[in-house]
Amino acid sequence: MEHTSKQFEQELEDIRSALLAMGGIVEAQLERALQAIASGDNALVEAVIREDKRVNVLQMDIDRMGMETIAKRQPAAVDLRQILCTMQAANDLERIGDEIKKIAERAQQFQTSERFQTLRLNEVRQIGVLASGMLKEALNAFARLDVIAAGEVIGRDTAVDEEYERIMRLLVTYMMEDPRCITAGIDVAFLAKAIERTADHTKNISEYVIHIVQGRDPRHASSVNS
Amino acid sequence: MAFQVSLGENAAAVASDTKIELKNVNFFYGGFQGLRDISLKIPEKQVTAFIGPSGCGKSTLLRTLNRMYSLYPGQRAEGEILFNGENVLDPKHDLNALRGAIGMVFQKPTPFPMSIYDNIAFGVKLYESLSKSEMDDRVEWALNKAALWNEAKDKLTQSGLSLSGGQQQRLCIARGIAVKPEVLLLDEPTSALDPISTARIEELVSELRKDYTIVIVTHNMQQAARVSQHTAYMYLGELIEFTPTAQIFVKPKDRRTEDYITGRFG
Repeated sequence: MEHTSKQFEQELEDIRSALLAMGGIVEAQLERALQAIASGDNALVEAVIREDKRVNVLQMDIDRMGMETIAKRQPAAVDLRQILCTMQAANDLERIGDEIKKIAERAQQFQTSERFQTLRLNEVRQIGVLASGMLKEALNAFARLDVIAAGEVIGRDTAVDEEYERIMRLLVTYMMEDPRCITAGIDVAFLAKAIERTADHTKNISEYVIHIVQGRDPRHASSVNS
Repeated sequence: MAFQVSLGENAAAVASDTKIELKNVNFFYGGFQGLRDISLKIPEKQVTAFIGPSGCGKSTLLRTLNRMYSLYPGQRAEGEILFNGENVLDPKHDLNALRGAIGMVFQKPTPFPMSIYDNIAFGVKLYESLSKSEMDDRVEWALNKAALWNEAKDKLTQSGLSLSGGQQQRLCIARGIAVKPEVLLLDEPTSALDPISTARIEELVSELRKDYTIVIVTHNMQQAARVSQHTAYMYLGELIEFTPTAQIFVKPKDRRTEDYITGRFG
């Protein structure tokens, strides 16, 4: 059922649209950064850095709109949860944006290292695919307020964590075998960590979908139940 | 402390003893049924708020608790309202004693056309025989409790009608508590007041709940959220939901409650 106040309805829709627009930019940013790892293309890196400013501005816009609506409308129940969770999701998207910027900058710095080229291409491709798939599905779940899809995305974070662990074990093996790999190995570890962090933030966004729809806060379930 | 962790607030709200218990209460205005099968337990020394759209029966429900309706012909209530173990709907129940124990404050301030002092002493005299000094003490005590003493102490002989709207409403609350009731019923007590007076009354309600059980009817949902520990949502004479306030405004159980408190009603 719609609100009696059409303006309130419009304000909620504006906040939601801004979040989805922000999500679309961040999704494209992650694709660019992953391509930059593979290709070392400077233009991609510059695009990432440029677009990150838009992401930051959108986060501030969403916070401002959320605060104004809370002040004007005193939202309750599902409306309150939607505004607060959207503001939190914007914060997570902004943090994903920062991780992506770090990935792109690091990719640019080390494109001259041949050994690093081989390592990074082979080892971070899979975790990148997993993280970018999660982000796409999480944003879809947020757009449709689809609790089942959100739950699936949360489950997929384990696969990213396992992939990250696998990369770290492998890198340690490389570095122990050949100390000349250490610098490149640390750089790849940095990339893998940044990608793994984007998946953590993506998981948070999926949790907000459940909180909005069901009023249940799925975060830190093990801490709450222990 | 203004904020408590959610578990603490809910636990405190639920743990209280019951002061008034309604069992299957129905109410009729002649042939029209105003309340339908209401059952709920009003907790002691807490604030319970009734919310709902106009005509939902929340004021009617309030007026059954001290049988205020019996002033009007053709109005009758059925079921049980247990107050200290006795059914107040029993025709043999002493109405004067009941209204002394369950006081009421109305939407518009209704001071009597007499002095501030006599506004308070008038009710007390109906129930108790006090000496002049005892009555002085009682008037001061009640005005203090209602946060009006400092403003009224130098003009006790002036008419109650000379006070501002907010002060008049606090005088009515002082008059209500002067007879030392156990329960205070507030029927939209701030709807005719400005925001500052409203804030003072809300502050007073929070203060009074240490000593009294308070039931408040309000159209202002944020007011219910601010001052009450339990909230009942009513619609078309039915009790839709009765939940700790901390929960009802964040995650109501019933879709109809959610539609109302989020402004999707109608």
